Amino acid sequence: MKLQHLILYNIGPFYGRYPINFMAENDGNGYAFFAENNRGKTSIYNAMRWCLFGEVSERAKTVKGERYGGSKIPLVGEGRILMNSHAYEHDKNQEMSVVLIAEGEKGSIQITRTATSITTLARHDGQMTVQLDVKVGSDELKHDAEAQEAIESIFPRSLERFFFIDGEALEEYTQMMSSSDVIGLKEEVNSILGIPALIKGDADIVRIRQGIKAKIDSTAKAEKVSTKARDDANTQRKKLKEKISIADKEEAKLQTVMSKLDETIEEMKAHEELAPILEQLKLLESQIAFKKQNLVDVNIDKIMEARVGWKVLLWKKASSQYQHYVGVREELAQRSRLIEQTQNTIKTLEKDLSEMTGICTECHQPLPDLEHFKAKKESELSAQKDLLESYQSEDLDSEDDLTIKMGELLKIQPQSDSKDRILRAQRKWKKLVNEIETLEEQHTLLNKKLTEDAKSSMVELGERKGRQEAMVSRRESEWRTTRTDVELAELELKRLERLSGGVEVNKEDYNIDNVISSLIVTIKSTIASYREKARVEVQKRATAVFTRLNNAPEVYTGIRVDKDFRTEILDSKGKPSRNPSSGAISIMTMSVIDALRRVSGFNVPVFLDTPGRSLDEHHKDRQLDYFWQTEGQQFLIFAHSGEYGVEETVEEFKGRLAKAYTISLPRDHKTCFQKGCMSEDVEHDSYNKKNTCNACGFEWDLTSQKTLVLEVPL
Amino acid sequence: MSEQEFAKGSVGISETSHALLVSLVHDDEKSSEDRPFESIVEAFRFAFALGFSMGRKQKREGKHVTVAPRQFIVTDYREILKKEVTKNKQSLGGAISEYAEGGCSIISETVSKGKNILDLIS
Repeated sequence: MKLQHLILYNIGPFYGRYPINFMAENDGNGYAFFAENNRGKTSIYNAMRWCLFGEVSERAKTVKGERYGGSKIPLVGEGRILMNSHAYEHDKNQEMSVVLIAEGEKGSIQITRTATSITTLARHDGQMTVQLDVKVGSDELKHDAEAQEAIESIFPRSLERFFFIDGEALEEYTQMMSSSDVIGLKEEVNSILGIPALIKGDADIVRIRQGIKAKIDSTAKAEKVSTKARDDANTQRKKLKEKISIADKEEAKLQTVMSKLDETIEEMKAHEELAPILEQLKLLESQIAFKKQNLVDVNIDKIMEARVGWKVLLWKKASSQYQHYVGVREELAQRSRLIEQTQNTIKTLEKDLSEMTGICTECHQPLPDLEHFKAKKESELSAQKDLLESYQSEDLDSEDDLTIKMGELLKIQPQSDSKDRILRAQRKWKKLVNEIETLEEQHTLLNKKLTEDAKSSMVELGERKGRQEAMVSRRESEWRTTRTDVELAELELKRLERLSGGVEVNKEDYNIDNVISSLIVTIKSTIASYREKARVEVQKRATAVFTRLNNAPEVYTGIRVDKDFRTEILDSKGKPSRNPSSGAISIMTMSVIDALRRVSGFNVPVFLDTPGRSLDEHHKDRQLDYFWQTEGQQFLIFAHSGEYGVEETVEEFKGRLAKAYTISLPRDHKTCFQKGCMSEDVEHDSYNKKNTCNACGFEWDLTSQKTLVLEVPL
Repeated sequence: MSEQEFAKGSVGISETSHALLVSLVHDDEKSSEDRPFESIVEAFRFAFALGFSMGRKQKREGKHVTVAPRQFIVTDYREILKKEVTKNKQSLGGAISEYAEGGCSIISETVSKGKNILDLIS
């Protein structure tokens, strides 16, 4: 693929549209962009990466053999962004795009990637839409996925780091290549060698084989289950036969007892007219039995209640005696009160008589008829004493005696409801006895209606029928159990028959498994073989480049690449060099990258940013001398003026340099930069901050931030 | 009136009356028969109470059967009988036995009439 045109629009320091032409007038494959720092070299390098792959990452870092990818550089937002900051901050519609036009094996290819804001001011990439348009030949690919696929088929993203080489990150490549831990480089090496497809194919085939093996295993397992089920089914059939035989025997027994029962029922029909009487007799008997059982309890109740019957009888008479004692007790209490009252009267009278002075206590005059009054009082006293004596002489029991007597009588006092309870229990018992007698009389009357023979016959038949019914019930239960066994056995047999049928071993599966197994071995062997061939080829090509670029061929004789693609510089004795110079190591790295890229077979441009970062003057010249070969693929360097001087480089690589550009700001120019003029007669106006070319009259503003991409005449 | 003024005496009953009382004692197998007493002593107590309440005393005739004194304590009935026994100069047991004999004749009459014994308390 040959790069022909690159058109930048509002990207990096490039505000507006910047077309860059790569169509060379000579056969050279060298392209150079020279610039001071922060003028836009890396922006062009990144613009092409963004155009091809849709995103650009910061430089990756490798720590202890582990590579940590750099963060993605956003299109818009704060900090470092891909979009031109002036366009982002001032344009009404923020938009950036990169157009890449190249000539490939399938004809021309045009890749256009455009990012447009969907808001007034997009603050992050989520507010941007990105459109990818790819045209290969006359085919326009509108769908992003399809378009990206087309790009990747020409320029695989997995190989990005081998075509977009960052000179400042050369140490990272070196570390990955020499490290014992090759995780960082392994994927790239595989990609370079085109192994991923094989590995993926291998994984796919392994997966297919796993599926077939699972099917085979499943079939084998099913076959095993089926065989066992067949054996079990045969055993089950024998068991079923036995169970059916047992069930048949049980059924025959049942039929026998049922026929006997039918005979008994037939016999009983001959005495059909007696049946109601017998039924009634049975009913009466059961009623009598029930009532007799009840009578036992009722009789016990009666006896319990009758325990106090004697009290009821005794109390009929004793109650009047008790009431008499109650009266006596009241009389006793009354007498006590009278005695106390009389005694008090006597005391008062005695006191009055003893204290009588003949002087009135109220008027304090001598009392008339004192003797008469005194005699009256004494007479009263005498009467009271006689009364007291009569009270005290009354023959009444003492209080204590009376209490004892009443207490003894209370021992035979029944409860107030005792009599009723006794009579109630008596009546209940009597009623029940009468009921039983009535039932027994009914039973006797009915019984007389049956002759002894008939009764005996009916009883015998009834008993026989009962026995036979019980036997039928038992036989039926046994027969049902055996039938259930038969049904269960039948179900089990059906299950086993289902399991034993329908499994066939597919021999084709085994054949496919064998073929795939062989194929997997072949692929793995091919991968190993290809890697080894590739390793030898990489080692050979890297050694060739290294030998050309190396300035000490007597000390460093070549490069060895081991099976894990770790690289070492060999000394004059063909052994690993112990302390190679940093320049030699950088050259080794470049050589291996170049070798890997060439072995990959992809003929696409190589972009080398800061190419002389780790090289001395000698190696820098040799590097360009090697890469800018006329038969080689396009090789673009993005160099700082300190790495490669513009004039010296152009002069030295005339004929091999196809195009060269400088990237600058107007203030960088002290000479006229108008195409065709280039005069050094320039007048500087420090006041107005502008330069004027005296030869052509061209003026340029020294404060302008418009980046200039100027083609260097070759 | 002191307890020493009358004797306790023993209680007993004629063979005939004893047989009657035995026929009134409960039997598990004869629930439909009128046998309202748990024991012979209870039947005797009922007969005594019946005789006392009806005021019927009757002398024992012929051989008599003694009622267990531990189960029938005559002094329990002292208060209702003391006047009578004092007056008649009779022992408590003697008076009780005569009342029981009288009660048995009433029971006998009742049973012979087809009536129930416990109806006698009404």
